[in-house]
Amino acid sequence: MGLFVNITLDGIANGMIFAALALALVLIFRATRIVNFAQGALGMMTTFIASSLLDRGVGYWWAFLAVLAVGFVMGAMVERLLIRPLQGKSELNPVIVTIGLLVVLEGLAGTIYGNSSRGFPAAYSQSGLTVGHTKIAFSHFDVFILVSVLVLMTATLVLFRATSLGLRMRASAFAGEISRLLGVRVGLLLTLGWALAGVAGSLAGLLVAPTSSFGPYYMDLVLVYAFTAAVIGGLESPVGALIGGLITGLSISYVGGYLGSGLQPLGALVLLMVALMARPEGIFARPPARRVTTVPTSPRPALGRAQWILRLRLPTQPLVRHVVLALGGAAILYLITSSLSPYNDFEVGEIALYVIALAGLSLLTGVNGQISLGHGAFMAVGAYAAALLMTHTHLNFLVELLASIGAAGLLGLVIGIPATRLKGPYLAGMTLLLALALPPIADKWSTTFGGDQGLTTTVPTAPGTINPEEWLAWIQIIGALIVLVLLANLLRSRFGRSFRAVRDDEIAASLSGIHVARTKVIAFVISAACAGLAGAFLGLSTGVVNTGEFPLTLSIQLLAAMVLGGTGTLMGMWWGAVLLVYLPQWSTSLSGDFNLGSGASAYLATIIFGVVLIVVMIAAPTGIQGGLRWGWGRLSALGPRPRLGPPSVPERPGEALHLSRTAEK
Amino acid sequence: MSYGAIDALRSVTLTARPGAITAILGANGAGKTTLLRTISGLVKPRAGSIRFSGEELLGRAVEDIARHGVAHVPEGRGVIAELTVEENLRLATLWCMGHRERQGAIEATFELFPRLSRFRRRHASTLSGGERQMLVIGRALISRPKLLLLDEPSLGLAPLVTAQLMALLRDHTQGTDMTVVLVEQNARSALSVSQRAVVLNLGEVVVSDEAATIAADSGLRHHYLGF
Repeated sequence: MGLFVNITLDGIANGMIFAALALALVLIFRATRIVNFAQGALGMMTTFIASSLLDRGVGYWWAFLAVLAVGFVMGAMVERLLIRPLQGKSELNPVIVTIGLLVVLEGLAGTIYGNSSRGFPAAYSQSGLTVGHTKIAFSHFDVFILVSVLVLMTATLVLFRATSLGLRMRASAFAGEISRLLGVRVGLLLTLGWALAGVAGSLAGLLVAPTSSFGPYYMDLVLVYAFTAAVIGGLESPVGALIGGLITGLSISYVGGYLGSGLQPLGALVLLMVALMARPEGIFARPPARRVTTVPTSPRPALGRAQWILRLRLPTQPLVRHVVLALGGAAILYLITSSLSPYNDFEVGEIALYVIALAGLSLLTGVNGQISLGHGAFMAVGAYAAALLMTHTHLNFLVELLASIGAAGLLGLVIGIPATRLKGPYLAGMTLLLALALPPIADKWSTTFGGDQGLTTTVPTAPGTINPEEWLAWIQIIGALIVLVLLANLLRSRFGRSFRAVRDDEIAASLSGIHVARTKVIAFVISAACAGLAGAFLGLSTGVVNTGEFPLTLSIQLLAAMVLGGTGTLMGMWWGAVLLVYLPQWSTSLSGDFNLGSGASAYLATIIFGVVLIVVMIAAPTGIQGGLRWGWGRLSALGPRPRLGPPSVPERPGEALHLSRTAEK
Repeated sequence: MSYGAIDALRSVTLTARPGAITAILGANGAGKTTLLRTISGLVKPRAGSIRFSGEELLGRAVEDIARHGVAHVPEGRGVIAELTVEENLRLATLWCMGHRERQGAIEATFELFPRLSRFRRRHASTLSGGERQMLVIGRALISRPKLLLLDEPSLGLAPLVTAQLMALLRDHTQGTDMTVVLVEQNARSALSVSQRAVVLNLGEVVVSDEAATIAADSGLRHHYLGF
């Protein structure tokens, strides 16, 4: 009984903190239809600033107020500098930009303040209060949490319900264009919304820090819990955020108290999935109006002369064409691998395995319009499935690979089914939670999954005199080429067209006889299966499979590489994979050149990935492959046009996101 | 005015008088809506000039143009469905009135449209098409604009309701210094209330004359207005 009471009290205190951060998410979502995945990281950054102020002898309450002000300014700056340029583009772009900001901030904090967690003082005593003769798990500080979050909530409600500023903010959020026609300065009010969210996020950061291991990543889990809370509450209402926060806080507390803290993220994932399945629009929200979305894709410029020549020389039958291309690629890669050192062969193999994962992600996000921030989790499942079979059985190698594909595909099915009811930011949050929830499971049942040591993998013995690295690279290259041929054919088929139709307009697609939900689930399963194979291959490359191989940053780096290569393309994934393999090395040598120290070198790659995400989304949403296609179209359009060539279409690479729907009619 | 490679408005020159309704007529794609959106700053033309009581509007922000006394009622109503009827009205007065004056203006609007006063605390999403049209016209008039831009107010309304709205519009314009520019598909009812009319075709002005003259020209009517 005492345990239950204490767990409940703990859940209430945590729930209030989640509510504060959920309120920040709600403030931004109401105003701009964006989920700011960097909100927790912003709170982390401001709390680090508070920590440095305290170290310099500034009083606690001065630091507290100063940091809320810094949060205000940072929120406004993020909106002005990063979000404003994305106006009118796909709803996936801001998701990706805020994810980029998240990793940049964490990288910066790690570089400046170091990775080790440090202490952060609480405003009041953290020892439990005494009720009657028993000490309960509710301290003076918990009372402070309760009061400060309630004050914040009340202030927000009064602002929205009872002031003309709040009326303007609501109007700007609901109908920007009409509000502007009525003389409302919408741009300013949207910035104000982000700034207020910055304050709420800073408060959450300050309240979490004393009770957690305060370091660059301490807000990651808090963010996904707050996201769960905000979704339960409907993402639109401050009261919903409060109730959602309490529900989430209590659920997490009970899971942690009775089942172990490692399962808390999984508990949140289940809670989020149940909430989304039951009422995707949240418990406290009115059903939303239909919002039409578009997704970044690489433009296909009109064929120029040179391309017509290329077209004529390649077989026109897609299957034959793709196989010919793949055989050509195989020949080139054979020449490369046989002329390189074993270590470089190893890297070529890694590139090939990342191409598999990226191609699946590109299909899911670019072609089908579903985002995944948790592809690292599917890779982990594939890797563990293969490694478990290798440890306990003596099956054929191909059977083990197929099992890892199947296991990841199965998880893809489990995640894909609720995903059919979700739109961009909801799905992004759910998959983000997935990426955080899976690794602790392997730690929890360490006897099965090997714990920190992990499981060892075995590469089949190389035939003849081929050296093992080259042999492994070849297994991975052949896998990548087979996957690419299959996916390329799939995209040219009825399925590929259905994927695109569902991405562009679900209602129109369903009216055309496409089973929307089934199509989305199939895309998810295929994408997850690709990640599973890539995970199995990654296990072969590293020799061991442990949870350290699959952190959240892996999922985010996959997304960054996919976006850089060219969302929706398959060939562009080679660029992304090269980046994934070589960027960490380059950044290590780069930070060596500039004497940045070992602490910085660990974070430089992360920061570069984040910057790449942000810059590509703002400046060149079609990525490298899109840029190449555009340049190629330009180049080949220079010569005299064939007389019966296709009509010319204006080519504007950055405008691909505008497509038909966001454009003016 | 152009959208990418497509010119929606090529060369349009027109002037509208205070105290009168000027109708903009023409077929689908003639550029009527684009013309209004250009005036209120929602779209930016490549070149040209928009002068309103001696001031250049071109290049100003939408909200600044609104604060110059230009009220634009966009196509398809434009009520803010998530706000209550009263909040919709209040929003339009925030930049131009003090608290007491605002209450008076809101009450005056409810007198003008008594039907709306029954729903004042209801969300605008619960209103019918005709009530929404009343709300947006009331919301446009409440800030006492000098220029009122109306985009297809008759769209989706019963003929009787349309006639009532048109009559109300005429009564509200005559004898004031408000300039009204009315874009309509329904040329017959637009010509019946307006003093001047401009016929647009493919982004160019075909004719600009007194409304009565255009209504009397059967060739023009057949060719461009379809009645």
